[in-house]
Amino acid sequence: MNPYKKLEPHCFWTKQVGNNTTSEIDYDPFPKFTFSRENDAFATAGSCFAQHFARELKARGGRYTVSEVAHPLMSKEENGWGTFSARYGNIYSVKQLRELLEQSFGRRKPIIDLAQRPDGRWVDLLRPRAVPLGFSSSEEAIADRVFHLSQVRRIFETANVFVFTLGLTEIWTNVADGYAYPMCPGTAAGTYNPDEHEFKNSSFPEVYDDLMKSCELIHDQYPDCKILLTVSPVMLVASMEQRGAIQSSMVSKSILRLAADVVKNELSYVDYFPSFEIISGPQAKGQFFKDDARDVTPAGVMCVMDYFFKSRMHIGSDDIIRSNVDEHKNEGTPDIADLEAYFEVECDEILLGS
Amino acid sequence: MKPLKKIGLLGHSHSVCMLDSMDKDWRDQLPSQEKSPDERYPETHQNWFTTDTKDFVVDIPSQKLNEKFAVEDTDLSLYPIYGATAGGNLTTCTLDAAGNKQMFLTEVYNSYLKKFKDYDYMISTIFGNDHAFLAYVDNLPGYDFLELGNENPNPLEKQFRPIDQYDITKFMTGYTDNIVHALYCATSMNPNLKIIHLLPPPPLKKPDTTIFKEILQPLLEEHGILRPSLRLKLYNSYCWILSKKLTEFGVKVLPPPPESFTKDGYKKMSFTDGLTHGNAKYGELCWRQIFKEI
Repeated sequence: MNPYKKLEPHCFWTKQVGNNTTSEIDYDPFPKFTFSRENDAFATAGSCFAQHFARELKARGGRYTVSEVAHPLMSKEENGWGTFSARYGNIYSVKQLRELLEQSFGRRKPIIDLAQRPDGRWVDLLRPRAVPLGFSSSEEAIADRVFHLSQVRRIFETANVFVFTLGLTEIWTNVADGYAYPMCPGTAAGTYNPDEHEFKNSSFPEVYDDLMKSCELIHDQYPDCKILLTVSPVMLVASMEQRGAIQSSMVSKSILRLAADVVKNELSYVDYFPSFEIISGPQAKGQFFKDDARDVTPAGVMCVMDYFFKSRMHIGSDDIIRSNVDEHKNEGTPDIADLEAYFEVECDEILLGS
Repeated sequence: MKPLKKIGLLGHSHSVCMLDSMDKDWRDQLPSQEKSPDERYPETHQNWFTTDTKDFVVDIPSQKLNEKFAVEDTDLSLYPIYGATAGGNLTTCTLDAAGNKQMFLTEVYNSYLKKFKDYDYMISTIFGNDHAFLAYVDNLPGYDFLELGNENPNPLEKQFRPIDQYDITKFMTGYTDNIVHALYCATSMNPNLKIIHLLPPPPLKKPDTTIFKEILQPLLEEHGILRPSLRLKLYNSYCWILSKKLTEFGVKVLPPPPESFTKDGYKKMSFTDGLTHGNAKYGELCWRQIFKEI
């Protein structure tokens, strides 16, 4: 007799994987939380992979919270509305999340860091691609940022599940005040200045601390809100470290995955969902990565979301409301290009390679 | 003998005060119509929605103009476009097969422009109330914006959501385009015609000072009245956008007469005729401005 004999089958690799297809594997046999499509309202933030989650949740009839919506007088042009629960754009690092929450909950003054584009319009460097049209003046950019921060807080008045996708450990920070940028100034907007901007690769203790503080900030104000963490399986576009993008990706993802695991174990209101494992685990044999071995295929996104709805919301594939894909189905077999376009996300990191 | 200068006025409801200041009895010449009192409007605008004024004109002979305004050798014709004239939109825009915008004159507007073929001046008071709904009715989530065309605008009010000037401009352009397209067509059809467009009167600071809320009556009751500071910004921004666009193709734009403004930029009660219109006294000041310009 040994302790392993008492373990459930899922605890054994050969049994969990077995001869199951990727859509049959039960990746998450011991979830902390399950959710109701009717009663639970979700909010999302995080790296570009989080956009898939937001879109699929909406498409599948999940309740999705968007607090920052266009005013009726605002132009109907695409200007960052609805991609996430507020117009913050991709949030790649946990440090950035923590600072956003601190500002929104009044724990620190709003961070104002603007740049003017060649066309004369102004950009908020803390969300440079979240508002594609930019602003007519610096005064308007500042006023919108202050409004945006108030809307970030409002998310939690409606949402009772906050899903955050951890993306990167490599970040750029402001030398004087230490805050994190989503992207190195000079890539999407602004001008890089080595006296003002410095590279930082967050260590495990730093990520853990930022993640704990972020969760505690939300829980202090909104104790009924559950937090669901995921780690993005999308690999780095580029690394500032002198060890190559492959190693840097592995280090970053390992740190993020460990931090998510520790925080989940320590906080009763935090759980983890294995998007990262579904896509990049050896059982998938790389099938869910595109040809660049970096980005995720539509089939991978579908596998993640199908499993999420099955395991966390007890909704089978027959029950799934897929309004957008149903439209494709009505037109006949969807073209691969159409599907690819449907699953396109705005990944700011791409700019690093251009 | 000096040739007579021919001036014509073409306008919607903002032409009423212009006619009233010229000839208080002009309504006796209107086509007969069923009288149906409308308590939302003052006496001057009764039957506005039931009278078809196509082909209707009030001619003011040069002698009368001379007596009233000391203007010599000038004939004036006034063409008001009442609400029932099917002259609501003077132009229409459609897309051709390639998706290009094609602009057409309505039949009614085409007939008016043909009348102006031999005129020296067109005084335009077309439209002008397009933005009034936005400026008076408080039915939108609270907002503020930086006034367009003002180099030192008042700062944004912190308690309201900021709207970028880009969005305000785009929204207002939907209103100003009706005027811009119509007058552009007029200049194209009659390149020798000089056009003067008169901007509408400024808004009232307190709409409740008049009982005649016009078509906005039920909406004001339902939604309440927008704060005056925003109303004035909307009006000033509308005028700025319109002026900028019209002057680009040679239309002369005249603001309301300065005597009609209060010191903080609203319409004086003494020149008011209903919520959005000026009275005959106001019309007279406008004419004096116009003749000075001509």
